[in-house]
Amino acid sequence: MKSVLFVLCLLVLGGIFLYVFLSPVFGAWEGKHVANYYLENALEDTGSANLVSSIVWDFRGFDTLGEETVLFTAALGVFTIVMFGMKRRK
Amino acid sequence: MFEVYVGTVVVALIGIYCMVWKKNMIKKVIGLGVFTNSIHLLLIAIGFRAEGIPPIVTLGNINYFALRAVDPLPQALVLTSIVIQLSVTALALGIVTLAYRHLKTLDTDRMNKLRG
Amino acid sequence: MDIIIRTVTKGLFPFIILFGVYILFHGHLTPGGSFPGGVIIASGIALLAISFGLRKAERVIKEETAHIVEGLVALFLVLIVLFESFVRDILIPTGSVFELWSAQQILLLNVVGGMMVSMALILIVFLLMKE
Repeated sequence: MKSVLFVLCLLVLGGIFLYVFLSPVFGAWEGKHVANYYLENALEDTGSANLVSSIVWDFRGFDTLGEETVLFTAALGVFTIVMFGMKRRK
Repeated sequence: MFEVYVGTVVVALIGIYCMVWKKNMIKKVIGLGVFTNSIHLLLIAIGFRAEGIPPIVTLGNINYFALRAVDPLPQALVLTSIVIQLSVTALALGIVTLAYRHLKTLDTDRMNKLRG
Repeated sequence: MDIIIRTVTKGLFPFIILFGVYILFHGHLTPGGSFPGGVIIASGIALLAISFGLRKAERVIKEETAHIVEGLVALFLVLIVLFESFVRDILIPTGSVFELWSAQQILLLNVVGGMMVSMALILIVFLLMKE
């Protein structure tokens, strides 16, 4: 009984997901001004042949700085947790 | 291309099932990873282009490249998202080890001891 | 661990590190970048740690060293972002497309960010193996 209810909830959730996921049109290329700008001008602006790298470190550089902050904080958090556990065990 | 979205939804449902239904905490963390990967799959699939080439300029003229290459923006954002997922997984595993040392179990049904 | 894993790791470890460094330095020309290169370097160290034990892996890079290098690299990253105009105008010009010393600040940021990723991952692996 419980598992049947769970599977039913899961299917309803899947329907909601499918409805949300279907909103972008797959493979359509008409409305993508940002992508077209990157493909045409990013090479002259940054001089990098790898466009993903130029987006990560130039056009959206502050996003990447925040991401590095998250990574640093995660390493610090794991260090804190492990040292806390070792001190408690003694 | 209906099948791609159905595939991502199936992977997302597997992840949610693993997160909610399994009782081992390590399996819950694995379910979180599977769910995040389904979102990454969806974001990469949005940048699809028919007969596309990777967004890396090789020797050739730029106009042909701009007409054929796939969208580089979702790939960059997914790269950021992968790093966030890695941080979350590492922190969750640290918390799981701390809980195991305190309570001597990984089963969430037996984690009912209130005193710290 | 097994003798097969030990032998393969002993032969393959320098090439894994070399491949990671190559991906870091060519992040603006070929597929790759800061995150994949850092993960490759960190996975080489992690392979050493799970096959030979933590003691042997700490002979390559100690945990305290990883701490200090990670902090210094994070400081350096913030400094590059602060003095970005100096880096992109004077130090590294735009250059021609397929040369190594080109692409403004992307080359430097790739190397520094990749080192930060690899140090953070090495730290996480060491700390979680100490449990």
